[in-house]
Amino acid sequence: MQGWQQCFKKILAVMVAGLMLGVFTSTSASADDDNLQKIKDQGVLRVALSPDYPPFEFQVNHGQGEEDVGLDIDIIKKIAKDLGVKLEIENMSFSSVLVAVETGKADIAIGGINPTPERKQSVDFSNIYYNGGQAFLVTKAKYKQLKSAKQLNGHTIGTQTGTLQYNLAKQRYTKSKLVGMDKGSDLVLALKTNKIEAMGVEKPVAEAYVQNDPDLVMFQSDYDLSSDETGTAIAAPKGSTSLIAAMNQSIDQIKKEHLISKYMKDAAKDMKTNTVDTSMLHYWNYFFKGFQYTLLISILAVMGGVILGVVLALMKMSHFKILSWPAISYIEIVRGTPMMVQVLLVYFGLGVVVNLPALTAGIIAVTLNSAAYISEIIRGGILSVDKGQREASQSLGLNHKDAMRFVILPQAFKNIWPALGNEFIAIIKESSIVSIIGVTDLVYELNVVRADTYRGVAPIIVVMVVYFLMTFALTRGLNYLERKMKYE
Amino acid sequence: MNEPLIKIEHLQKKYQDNLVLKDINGEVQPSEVIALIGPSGSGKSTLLRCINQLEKPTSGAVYFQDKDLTQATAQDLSQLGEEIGMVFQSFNLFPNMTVLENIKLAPMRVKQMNEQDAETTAMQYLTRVGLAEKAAAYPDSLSGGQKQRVAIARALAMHPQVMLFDEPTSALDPEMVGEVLAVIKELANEKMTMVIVTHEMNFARKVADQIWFMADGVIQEKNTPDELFNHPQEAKTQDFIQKVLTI
Repeated sequence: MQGWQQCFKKILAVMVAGLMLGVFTSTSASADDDNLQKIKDQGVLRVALSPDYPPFEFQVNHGQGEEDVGLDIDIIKKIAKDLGVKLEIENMSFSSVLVAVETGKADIAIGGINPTPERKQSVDFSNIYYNGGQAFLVTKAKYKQLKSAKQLNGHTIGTQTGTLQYNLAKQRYTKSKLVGMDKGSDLVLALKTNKIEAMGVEKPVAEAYVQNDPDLVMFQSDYDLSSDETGTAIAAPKGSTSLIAAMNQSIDQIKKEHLISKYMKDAAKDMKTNTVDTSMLHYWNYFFKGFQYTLLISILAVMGGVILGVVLALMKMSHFKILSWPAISYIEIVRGTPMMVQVLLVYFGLGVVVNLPALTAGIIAVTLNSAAYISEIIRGGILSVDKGQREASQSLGLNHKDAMRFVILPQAFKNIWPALGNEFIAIIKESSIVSIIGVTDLVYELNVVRADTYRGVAPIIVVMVVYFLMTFALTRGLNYLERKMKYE
Repeated sequence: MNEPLIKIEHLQKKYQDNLVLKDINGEVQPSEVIALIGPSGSGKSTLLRCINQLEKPTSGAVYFQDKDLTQATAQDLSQLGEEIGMVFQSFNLFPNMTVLENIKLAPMRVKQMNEQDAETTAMQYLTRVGLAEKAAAYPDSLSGGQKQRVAIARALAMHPQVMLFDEPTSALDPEMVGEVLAVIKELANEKMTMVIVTHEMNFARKVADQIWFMADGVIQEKNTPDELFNHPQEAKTQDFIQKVLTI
C-alpha cells in the first residue's frame, strides 16, 4: 500500500511538471512580423546583452553609478535613433541573451554574436556589422615556444563554452584538449595559471586584453572562414523580417560612413578610463550595489519562504488529499530540480505570460525554492513536538488553529531554529544564481568588475569576504536569538 | 439516583488486530469518584482516553449528559474540553509559557474571558494548589509534583464538570506523590466528579466511591472499595488484590 502510494505520488509529480512545460512551450510560438510595429508603438527598443565583453560591451565606472559602453552599445544607440525610439538595455548573462529574444523578454540581442547555423535555427540575424576575425592569446612565457596558430595542434586550448571559437577549435585542432569555460576572465586566469596553453577568442577582444595586460601576447588564427562565421550580427525573433530590414539599413549606413572605427576608438578610450585605477576600492560602489541586491533578495526570500513554508507544511500534514497532494508534488518538484533551472523557468517561462522584471523573477524563484526546503524543516519541527502537547491542548478545548498558534508552532520553531539558520545561510549563498538573468547581485557585479579591470582574482576575494561577513553576522544574530528563546 | 453524568455503552477499541477494550459498560454519577485499577496493559488508560475522545472508539457509545461523544463534530469536541478536564501522567504543561500563561490560555481562547478575569481565575486556582508564588516561573524550573499541581490548576480553571486523571502520580518521585494526592483528595471532598486511573491502592481505597477493576480489556468487577478489596468475587480480582496487598 505504502509503495503504491509513493509510486502514485511520483507519477503525479511528473505529470504536473510535464503540464507546466507544455504550457510554456506551447505559448512561446514564433513571432509574427509585427515586431517592428510593436517597438515603434511602445517607443522603446529593448536590447538584451551581457556587459562583460570588452570592447563590444562593458561598463564604465563614473564614480557615481556605472554605464554600459562599447562598440555594440554605439551600434544599438544608432539603431534606436534611426527607428525613432528610446533605448532600454536589459543586462543579463551571455547564455541568456538569445533566450530573452526567443521568449519576448527583449526585442533584440547583441554582444559579439556570431550568426552560426545552429543559432539561426532559433533566431534571425541582421547583416554582419563587424568582422574582426579570430585570434589566440598566450602568455609571454608560453610565446617563446608557441608563436603561431600552426603550432597549436596538440596543445590545450581554452574557449568560452557554446561559442564559435569552441566549435572552430574542435574541428581544426583534433589532437588538442579543449577546455570550455563561461567567462573570458576565467579563461585568462586559466591561461596565467597554466591550466590552458592558448585561449581562442575574437580578435578585438584579444587586442583589448593585450593592451591591458602586459603578460599576454596574441597571434592570428589560421582558420579558413566564411564571413558568416567570423562576423558578428544582431539577433531578433524568428520571422521579424521588417525589423531586420530596418536594422540592416542602419548597419549599411554605419559601414558607409566608416563609423565602426570611430566606435572602436571610443571603446578603447573607455577601457583606458576603466584601467586607470583598478584598485578594488575604486570599484566599491559595484560591490556595495551587489551587496544590497543580495541582501534584499535574501531577506525577502527568507520571509516569503517561511510564510509559504508554514502553509505548505500544514497542507502536507493535512488529512485532506486535496490539500496534501499539491503540497507534496510541489515540494518534490522543487527539491528534485536545480535552482538555476527554476530561475530560468520563472523568468523566461513565466515571462511568456507576464513580463516580470529580472529582480522580481529572481526573488520569486528564490522564495519558491526556499519555501519547499523550509516547509520540510517546519514539518519536521511540528512532528518533533511531543504528542502530549497536542492532547493537552485538545483536552482543554483549544481548537486546531489555536493549538498550532500558541502551543505547537512556537515549540516547533525553537526546535528547528538551527536548521532554519542553515537554510537562511544557504539562501544568501545560493541566491547568487539569479545573476544569470541579470539581477545585479554580488556575483553579477563580480563578473562586471573582473571584465572591466582585467583582474582575475582580487574581485573574487572581495566578494568572498562580503559573503562571509553577511553569513557570519547572520549566524551571530541567530545564535543570540536562540539563547533568548530558552525558557527560564 | 440522578441521571448519570457519563454513560459508557458497549465500548470497543481495536488497534489493527489487537482488541484493547472489549465491550465496556459503565456509568459515572455526579459527584462520584471512580478509581480504575488493574494490571499494566489492561486498557485503563485507553478507556479514560476514549471518554474524552483523545482515542476514537472502534464501536459503542460514550454519553456525556445526553450527548453521544463518538458522534460529535470537531466543534462539539472543542466544547467538551470545557466540560471534561484531563490530567496526564507526564503533565503536558506548555514549556513555552509561564505557569500563569499555561493556565490563562484556555479560559481566554476557549471561554473568551478577558485577560484580567482569566488572570484572577488562574491565580485563584494556583493559590488553591499552593503555588501562587510560581506564577511567573517556566515549567522546566518546577519539580514534578509542582508541575502536576499546575496541570491540575490548569484543568480546573476551565470549570469542568468531570476530571479525568491518567496515572497522575506515576511519573513522580515518591516524596512528591503525597502533595498531588492531597490536592485530588481535596477535590473529592468538594464533590468533584472524577475518574482516576491509579496504581496507588491505599489512595483509591480512601478516596473512591466505586472501584472498577480492569483486566484483559474487560471491567472484571465493580464495587465499593471495602467490598472489592476485602471480598473480591472474580478469580482475576482475587489474584490481583493478593499480589498488590502482599507487597
